Amino acid sequence: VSSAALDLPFVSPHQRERAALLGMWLFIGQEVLFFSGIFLVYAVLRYAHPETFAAAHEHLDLRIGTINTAVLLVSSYSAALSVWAARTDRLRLRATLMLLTAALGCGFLALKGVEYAEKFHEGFLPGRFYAGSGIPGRPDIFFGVYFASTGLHALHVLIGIGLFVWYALCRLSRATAPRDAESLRNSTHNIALYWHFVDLVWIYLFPLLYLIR
Amino acid sequence: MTQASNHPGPRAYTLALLALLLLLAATIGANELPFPRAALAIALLIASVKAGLVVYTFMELRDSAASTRTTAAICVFTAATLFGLSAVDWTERDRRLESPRVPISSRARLAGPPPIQIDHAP
Repeated sequence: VSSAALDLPFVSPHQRERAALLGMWLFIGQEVLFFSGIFLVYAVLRYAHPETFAAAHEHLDLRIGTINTAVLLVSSYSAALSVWAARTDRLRLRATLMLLTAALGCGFLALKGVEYAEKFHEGFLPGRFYAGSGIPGRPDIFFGVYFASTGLHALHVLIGIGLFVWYALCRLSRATAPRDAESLRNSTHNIALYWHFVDLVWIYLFPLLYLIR
Repeated sequence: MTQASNHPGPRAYTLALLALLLLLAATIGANELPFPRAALAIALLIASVKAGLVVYTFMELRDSAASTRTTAAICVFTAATLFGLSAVDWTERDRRLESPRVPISSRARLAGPPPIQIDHAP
């Protein structure tokens, strides 16, 4: 790589790759703390209203939750493969795998939309909008936690889908110069890291919301 | 420039995916076991194994630079501190209220505001 292709303070493409990944991990670190606040709210409210949480989770669709978990796990697999494809200069395969990941994310959101529609129809809504019946205690609090946590997670999924589609389509034909190829690898890896984090959040949300005993 | 030699490949990713799907089935199965008190701990334990697989294989933390691994460790430590200190406050609050060393004038402040009652009846 010529010296003109390197921006200061980097002395090698490898160092620049490591810096890019470290930046993404720092971003993921603050995202972990953001979602930790949500999980902490869940823990405090579940401790305060155990009967309500145990009864209210029966009204969530375990089948949809399980399928959505599997969909996100498979999407993480395809995201990891897209990083491998970028590293081995299989650029069309990289774009295809990124689009597949985005499609799986869309499938996740579609199923989540079906579940949200059911909750709206049954009146299982947060706070003063709650109009359901058959759950003791404060079900409005449970559904507040449910919509806040899954809604914020869905927003992250939506952002991830946008990133995958954008970088799959708009960057498809640009990777000709070495700097572009390196940039393509780094951006693919960073988007995949973000997507894996979104998967991690759901790995914990799924048992906490759908499998309460 | 190909840099695939130092990182996991499709085989490792496929094995990780199969393990993750098996662990998902284990999560569902464990929920049916007749130990309701341990169900949460089992579910969180399986979730943590799944998270570890994702972090180490898909996110390639094992092959990352020391600075990246340190960042991830600090992140886990900070989140654990957040949960740990909050748990101490939550579980000790009732005990502090009952302590004779806490003046009665301070107990209302420690207890926080009274719970809000919402009447959902039409």
